[in-house]
Amino acid sequence: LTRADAARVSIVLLTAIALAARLWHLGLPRDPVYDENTVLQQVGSYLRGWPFFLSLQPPLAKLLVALNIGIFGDNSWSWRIGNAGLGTALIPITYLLARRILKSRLAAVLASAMVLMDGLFLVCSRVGMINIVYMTLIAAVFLIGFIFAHSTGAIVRRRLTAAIGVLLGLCMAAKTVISALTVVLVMGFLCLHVLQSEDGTLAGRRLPRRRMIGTLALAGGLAALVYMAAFIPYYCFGWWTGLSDFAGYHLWVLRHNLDLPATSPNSSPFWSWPLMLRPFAYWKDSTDATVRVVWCGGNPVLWWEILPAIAITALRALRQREAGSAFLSIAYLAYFLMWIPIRRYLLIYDYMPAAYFGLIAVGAALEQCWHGRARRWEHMLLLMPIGAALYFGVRHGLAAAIAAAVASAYGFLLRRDGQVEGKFVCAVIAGGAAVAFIYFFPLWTGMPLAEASYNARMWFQGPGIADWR
Amino acid sequence: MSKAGDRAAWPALMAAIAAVGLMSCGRAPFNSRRPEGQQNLLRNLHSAAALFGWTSFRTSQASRVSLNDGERGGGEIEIVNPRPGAAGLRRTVPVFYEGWYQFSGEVRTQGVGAGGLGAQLRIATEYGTLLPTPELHGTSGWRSIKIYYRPGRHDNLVSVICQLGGVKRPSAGKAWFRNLRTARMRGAPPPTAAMFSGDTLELDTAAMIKPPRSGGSAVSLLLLLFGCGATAALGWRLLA
Repeated sequence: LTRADAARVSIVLLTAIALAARLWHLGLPRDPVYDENTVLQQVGSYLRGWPFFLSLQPPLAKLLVALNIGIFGDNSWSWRIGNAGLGTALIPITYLLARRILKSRLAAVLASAMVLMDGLFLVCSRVGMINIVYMTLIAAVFLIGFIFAHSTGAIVRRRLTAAIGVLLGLCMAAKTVISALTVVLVMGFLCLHVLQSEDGTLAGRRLPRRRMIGTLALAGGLAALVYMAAFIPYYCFGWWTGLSDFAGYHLWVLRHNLDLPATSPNSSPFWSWPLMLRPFAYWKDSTDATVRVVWCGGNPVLWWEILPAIAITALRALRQREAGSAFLSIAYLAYFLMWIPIRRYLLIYDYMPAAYFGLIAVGAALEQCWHGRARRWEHMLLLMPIGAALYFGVRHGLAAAIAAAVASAYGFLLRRDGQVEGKFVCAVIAGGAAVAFIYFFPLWTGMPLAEASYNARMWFQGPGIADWR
Repeated sequence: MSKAGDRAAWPALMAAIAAVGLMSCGRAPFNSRRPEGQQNLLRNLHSAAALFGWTSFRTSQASRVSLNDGERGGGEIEIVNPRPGAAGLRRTVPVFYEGWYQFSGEVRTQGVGAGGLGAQLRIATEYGTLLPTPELHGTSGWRSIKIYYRPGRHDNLVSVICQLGGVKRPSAGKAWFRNLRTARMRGAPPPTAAMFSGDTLELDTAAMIKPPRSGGSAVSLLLLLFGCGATAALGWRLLA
C-alpha cells in the first residue's frame, strides 16, 4: 500500500464513519431541538402560508430545510438530513483544504479525523439549524481560494474567482456576521495572490490594477448578487416589495442585536470557548433513571489541544515563514478575536469557525510529531491537554497510573534512535481524542444514559461559568 | 503536489451526497408534530435535570429564582426580588391548531407592592402576544389560576411564564408557583372562564418580531440586482 493509496483509503473510511455518525438515529428526538423551533416556524411561512416570521439570520439555511421538507415530508428526519449531508461533506472538504494548506497527505488525513471526532461539528450536523451550513461553505470557499492560489491560467483563475463569489454569497446568506469576516479574509487572500507574480514573489512596483479590480468586482458583485437572491422568496410571497424593505431589515437586525442583553442562561464569554467551560444542552429529557441529551459541546481533548497547536503553528509561521502555518494562525485568531467588540450575549457554538482552523492546526502539529520534526517542548505542550482530560475525566488513581505509563513510555522511547517518541505522542493524542469521542458520543446523539453516567461526563458542574450541565 | 489524495476525496464527497439522497425515501406527511396530551410542567423536579425546559431571567443580580420541593413535595418555583426588579422562569409548550388548552397553576405572594407588576402566570403566544392574565399583589395564600387558550393557525408553541415584576413595572417581594399544568381539552372551556383564541388576537404587537415594513418599489430592487450583476460582468471582462 503506497502512501497515496493509504490516504485514499483513509479519507473514504473517514467519510463513511462521518456519514454513519450523522445518520445514526438522526430523527431522534422527534420534537424540535433548540432553534429548530424558529427554523421550522420560518419553514411554515414558506410552505404552509403561516404569517411572515422575520429572523435575525438570512434565509438560506431555512430554505434548505424547507426544500428537504418539501421533498421528504415534515418529520424530524427530513428537518436534519440536509445538514447531515453538509456535515458529512465537510470531512472530504477538510481533507482537500488541509492538503492544500499543509502540503501533506498525513496532515490532511489527521485534520479530517480531528473534525470528524469533534462533537460540536457532529451535533451541528444532526440538527436543522444554520451553523453547519455556513461552516461548510466557509471551508469550501477557502478550498476554492487555495485552488485559485495554486492555479496559473487566466481563464481558470477567472472561473475560480466566479466560484468564490458565488460561495461567498451563499455563505453570507446563511449567517451574515461571521461571513462578513470571511469576505474580508477571502478578498485579502485573493488580492495577495493577484499581487504575486508566477515565481511566488510579490509583483514589482507596478500594481496589477486591472487584475485586482477585475477580481474584486467579479467576486464581490457575484457575492452581493447571490446574497440578495436568497431574499427573493420574501418578495415572491409579497412580504417585501422594494429595496427599502431589504435595507430596513438590515437596520432592524443591527438594532435588535444592539438591544440584546449581554448574558443569557447558556451564554459564555468568548475567552472561555477554547477552555470549553460552558457547553450546554440543546435538548434534554430525563426520567427517574435515564437522561437523554443533545449536548452543544466539543470533544474536550481536541478543544484543549487547539491552544498548544495554534501556539506551535504561529511560532512556526514566524520562524520558518511557512505560508500555511501563517494562514491557519491568522484564520484562527481572526474568527476568535472578532467577538471582542460584540456586546450581545454569545454562545459556545460561535467558536465553530475558529475551532475548525484550530483542528486543522492540531492535525498539522501531530503530523510534525509523526515525522520527527517537532521539538521536545512541543511534545510536552501537546501532551498537557491529555493530562488535563485524565485529571477531570478519570478517577485520580487510574489517571495517575495512565499518566505515569505515558511518561515512562515516552522516556523509554527518547533513549532509542529513530525519533519514535514523536510517533508515540501523535498516537497518544489521536488515541485520546478517539476515546473521548466514543465516551461523549451519547451526549451528542441523544442516546439514553444512566443518570450516574451522565453526571460522570459533566466534568464541570459550577459554580461559576465552568458548568457543562 | 500529488493529487492521489485529492482524487480519492472528490469521489468520497460525491458518494456522501449520493448516499444521503438514496437514504431519503418514504417519509411521513407534512407536520407530524403533535402536542403532549397532558403535562406537568414541573416534572422531574428532583432530578439533576430539574431546570430542563425552563429558562430563568432577571433584571437584577439581587433577584433569585429557584426550584424547591414545595409543601406537598410536588415542586414549586420561588421568585425573590429583594429590590424592585423583574425575574422569573419561562418555558415553551408545543401546541396544535384546533382545540382548547388549559393552563393552570397556583400562585402565592408575600410583600409584593401594588405599584409594579405583581406575581403573574403569563401565557405568551409564539408571536409574543401576552394574554391578559390576573396579577397578584400584597401577601396572599395559594390562589388557583386557570387560563384557556385556543391556538391560532400560526401557533406551534406557547410560552408559559412565571414572573414577578416587569421591566417597566418592577416589583419587590416574593412569589411562589406550583402545580403548573397544561392540558389539551376535549371540549370547550366553561363559559365563565378566562379564554382566548389565537385567531382573534392582535398578532403584530410584539416589537421583537414585528417585521420592518418600509415598502418601496420593486424597480429599486431590480436596479440593485442589475448593478451587482453588471459589476460582476465588468470583473469578468477585466479578467479576460
